[in-house]
Amino acid sequence: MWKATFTSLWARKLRLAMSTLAIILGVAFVSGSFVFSDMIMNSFKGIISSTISDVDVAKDPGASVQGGNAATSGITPAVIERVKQVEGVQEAQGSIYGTGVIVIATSGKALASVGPPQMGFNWGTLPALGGQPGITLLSGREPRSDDEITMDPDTLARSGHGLSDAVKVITPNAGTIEVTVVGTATFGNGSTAGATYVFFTGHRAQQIFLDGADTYTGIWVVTAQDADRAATAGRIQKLLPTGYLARDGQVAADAQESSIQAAMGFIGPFLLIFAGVALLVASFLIVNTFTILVAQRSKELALFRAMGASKRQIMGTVLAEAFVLGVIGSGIGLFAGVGLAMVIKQGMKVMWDIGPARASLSTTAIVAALATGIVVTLLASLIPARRATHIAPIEAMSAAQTEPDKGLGRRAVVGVVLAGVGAVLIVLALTVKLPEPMVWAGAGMAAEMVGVAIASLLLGKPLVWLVGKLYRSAFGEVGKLAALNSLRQPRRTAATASALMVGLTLVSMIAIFGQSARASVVDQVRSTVRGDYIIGQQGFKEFPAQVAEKVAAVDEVQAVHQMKLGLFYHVPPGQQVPPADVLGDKAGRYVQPVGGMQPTSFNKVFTQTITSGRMFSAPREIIVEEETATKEKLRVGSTVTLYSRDAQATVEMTVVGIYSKGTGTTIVDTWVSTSTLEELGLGRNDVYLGIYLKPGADAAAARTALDRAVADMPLVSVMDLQEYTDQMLANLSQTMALLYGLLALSIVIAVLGIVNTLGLSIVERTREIGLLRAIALTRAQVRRMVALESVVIALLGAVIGIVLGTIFGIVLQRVLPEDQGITLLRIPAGQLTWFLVAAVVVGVLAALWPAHQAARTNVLEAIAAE
Amino acid sequence: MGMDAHSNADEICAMRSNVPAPRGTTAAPAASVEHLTKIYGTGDAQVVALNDITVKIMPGQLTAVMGPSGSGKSTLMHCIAGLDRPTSGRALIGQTDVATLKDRDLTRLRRERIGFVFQQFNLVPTLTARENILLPLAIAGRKPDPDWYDEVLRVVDLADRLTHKPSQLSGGQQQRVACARALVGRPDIIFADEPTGNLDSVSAVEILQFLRRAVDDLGRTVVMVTHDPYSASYADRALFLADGRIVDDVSHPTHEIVMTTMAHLDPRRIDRASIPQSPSDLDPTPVSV
Repeated sequence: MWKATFTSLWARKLRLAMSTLAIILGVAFVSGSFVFSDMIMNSFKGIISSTISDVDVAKDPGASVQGGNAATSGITPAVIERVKQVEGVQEAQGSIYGTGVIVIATSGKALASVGPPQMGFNWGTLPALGGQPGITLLSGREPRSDDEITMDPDTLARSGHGLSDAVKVITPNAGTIEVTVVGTATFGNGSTAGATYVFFTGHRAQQIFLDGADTYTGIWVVTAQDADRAATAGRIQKLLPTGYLARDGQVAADAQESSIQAAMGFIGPFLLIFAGVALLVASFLIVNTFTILVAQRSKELALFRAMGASKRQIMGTVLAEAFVLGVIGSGIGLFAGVGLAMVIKQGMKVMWDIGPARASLSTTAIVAALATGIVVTLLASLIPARRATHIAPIEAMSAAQTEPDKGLGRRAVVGVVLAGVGAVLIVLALTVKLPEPMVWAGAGMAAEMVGVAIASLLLGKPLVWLVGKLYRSAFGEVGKLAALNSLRQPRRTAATASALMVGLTLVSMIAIFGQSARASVVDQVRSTVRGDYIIGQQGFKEFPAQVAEKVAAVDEVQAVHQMKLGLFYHVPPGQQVPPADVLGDKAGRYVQPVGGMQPTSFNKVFTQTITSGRMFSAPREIIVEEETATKEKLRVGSTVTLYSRDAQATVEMTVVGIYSKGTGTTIVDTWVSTSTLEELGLGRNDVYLGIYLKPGADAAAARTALDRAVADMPLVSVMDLQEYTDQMLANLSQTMALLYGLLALSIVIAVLGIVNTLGLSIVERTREIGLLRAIALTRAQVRRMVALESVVIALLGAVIGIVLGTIFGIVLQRVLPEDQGITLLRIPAGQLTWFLVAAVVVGVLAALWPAHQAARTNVLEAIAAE
Repeated sequence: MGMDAHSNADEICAMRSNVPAPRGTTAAPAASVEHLTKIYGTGDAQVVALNDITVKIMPGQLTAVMGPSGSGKSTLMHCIAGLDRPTSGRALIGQTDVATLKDRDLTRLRRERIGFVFQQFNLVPTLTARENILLPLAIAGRKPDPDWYDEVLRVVDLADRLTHKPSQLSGGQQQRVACARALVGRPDIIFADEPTGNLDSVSAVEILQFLRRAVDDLGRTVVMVTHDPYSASYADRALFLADGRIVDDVSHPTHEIVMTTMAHLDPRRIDRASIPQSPSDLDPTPVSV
């Protein structure tokens, strides 16, 4: 019996290769998703554990220094000397850390990016947590004088510079400095995850981050081997100035890790959704393939039965075959997933470089991928295996070797019910004020998609009928045969089309989302932004106030209106400081950005009209956008208590006015006077400039002059409205590209599914194709017949997918919270039409190989076939 | 014999012998083979299926090709019908050498000048009986001659089964549909490969009578490959093959002559040679070729 199983496996190697391919693709997607998220997490973990010392001493994010400035009460060398004496401390060094250190590449452009930070450190020589390597020199040497730096090798490579080159570096407090790169270094063996590390001498770091004061931002503490880290931290704490915190390094690392996990958390589920989609698609493919395989084997199985094999043994052989395929397919798929993860990583590099992270297979990934592959395959073969045992030997030996055509049957009922449930959930999410409408709508869409996928042929029957009509008039009898063929195994056609449907649903949904987002951004920019020219960066990155001075000096410029930014946290009533979990949140979910401008800049930076009260005129007066005011129950005269982490201070502000911003959106909905920010030591830099030209000024000349004025400021560039819009949309375009890339993979699986199904159908219909060849059809006509059948399947999947995707896109736009800024709905009809055309092309391409096989059918062998 | 139905196949029509010669005269043959040899395989595994055969199939006749298994009778039919290529020699339909045609022209020739009835699986399962009958014409983009179509349907007696799918038809009905399909395009020649091989005796007689009428009433030329002496007794002429050669050529074969000849060709049949006298005595499980 077992020998027979393996012999039969080998005998049908082509079909087996195809079904194995289905398993490989499905599993590759699952394992790829895991590997990729692991890759991201590991790259962060690697960084964390080597950037933290045994005892971590840093500013306490939860502490507040009333009205004071952190720089004035820092960690002096005297503090460090005292810490060195503490019991359990083996060695301690002052550490300095700050962000906003930007390297200028050979191209003259700043190596700035929206995602990972650009960090600067003083050079340190002590090992990290648990004796791991801390700052590790990779080439050259450490910085020994103030005009020398060492940086991470990735940044050096990206900058185009080499060792011992002179490099310009933009710093937060010391302007742009010119230094020499003397080496490359990083923390531990970890990658930088796309961040920039620049190491300075201690003195230079103090100039850059601490206004030249002889203090440090933290202490790098190495404990003695047998010392209790927590106890040592407790002893160190007593020596620290107020506002600083000493913690067990492990605790600090865990805290950082979990907050990063929270921030990066979206990636895991995001990829798993794609893995789920891929798995769904692959499952359709696997079930389909096995159903066909077993149906074709029914004669052989019946022979086994006739020779005395029990039902159990038949079941055993079918399942054994599935198991072998499952194991092989999953094994290959597992490793293919690693490759896939690398491809995704490369694809993402444009928008987010996670650095040279190594792909590795975690136990979770291995278990999940293997389990899915094998279990799905076994389940997929269970139904046909059961069917195989129920066939009476004589019946099977005389009947044609095809899967019984039972229509859609129970599946249709299940599908329709599921789709109904989905529709109800979506409608509820849209109409009833449910908490978390996104979750409800998401669940609804998932149910809807699976339901429609299952019942797709039922819904698609009118479509197939219509296509059949078209075929008949366009391709005559061959078209009719193709249309009839696509209907002869409804389940098979439905399952095959579903695979494509799922992919196209998501693609269409994203297309609508993208187009709506784009239209919304353009609309907002047009109705929000004032002035003739703009200087401002994505994400409101700071740039020095000198830029405004230089721009104002240009002849053609009449006025420059500056916007500054302060980051605050809401302080709950009756408290001085926000809760620790709010402050500790690395994802920045609780940050409340507050804009700062001169009172005269009102309605000059962005569109604004006062609706009640007045514009602020004095420090600690605030104006609030009307919708925000309504939401937070603020009126003229209300008080708002805000905490600034940078200033470590809590301020009380009075609402003096409510304003309307029209239809536009800006990232800030509360504004204060620049003097309010200056009081806190904030607002040194600008984030945005609105530039007004003198009436009658020559726009082209003005542009040239403005460009020249900021030529030596690598961080900024002058933009007109269109350029500004484009910049706002750049990130969106990249995100869309990534999403399309991921979905393209699920479509590849779907296409292979069509190839597979058609290929197997061709094998099944060998005799019929032989007959058609004998009595009527040329090879070209046979090819056309197969291609047309393939196009029917592709169109079925595409049309249902696009319709469903369009509905989902509309739902998504409706259900997304307003502050996501997707205020307008746009359906890119042209793009959706292209998807449809692409589906036809896909159908034709998928048919190439099966059609070739069909056309090659040997008439004599086919009609003589037993 | 209307030419109108074939107007889109001019060059083929030009060559065809559209008026069958009366039985027994020596008119131009409907099909013929000249020094036809077919060898399968190479070296030690070489099998000579047909060995230098020359024969003419006369129009307006029902010719039976007889012979034991492996005698080459099916191969002969396949070569004439353009389903297989001869190793050497010529196979002609009318004056057209089928061995030289490209696939496209060959398909066209089969579609328009030849009718086929196979032993089984003659019909496309997705099409109704009517659609199956009209399939070759529909592919060629032709409409059937209505009178001829009605005539064919009347002869095969299928009028009430036309909207049925093959799965709803009995084996005999399926073969009748296949016969109707073979006839409806007015082909020069109809090849029937063991047409009764899978049928019960009653259905078998129906098909044989039908083929007979196709010749007598409708003026067609039919070549029927069979190993069954009873079937052969319906023929105007019986060709006997053994080991790839024509060993006998009998006009107006009777059941007895066929039995005797076959028995002579295939010693295994001797002990059963005298039994079947009527259709109901036919061997219910025929040996396939």
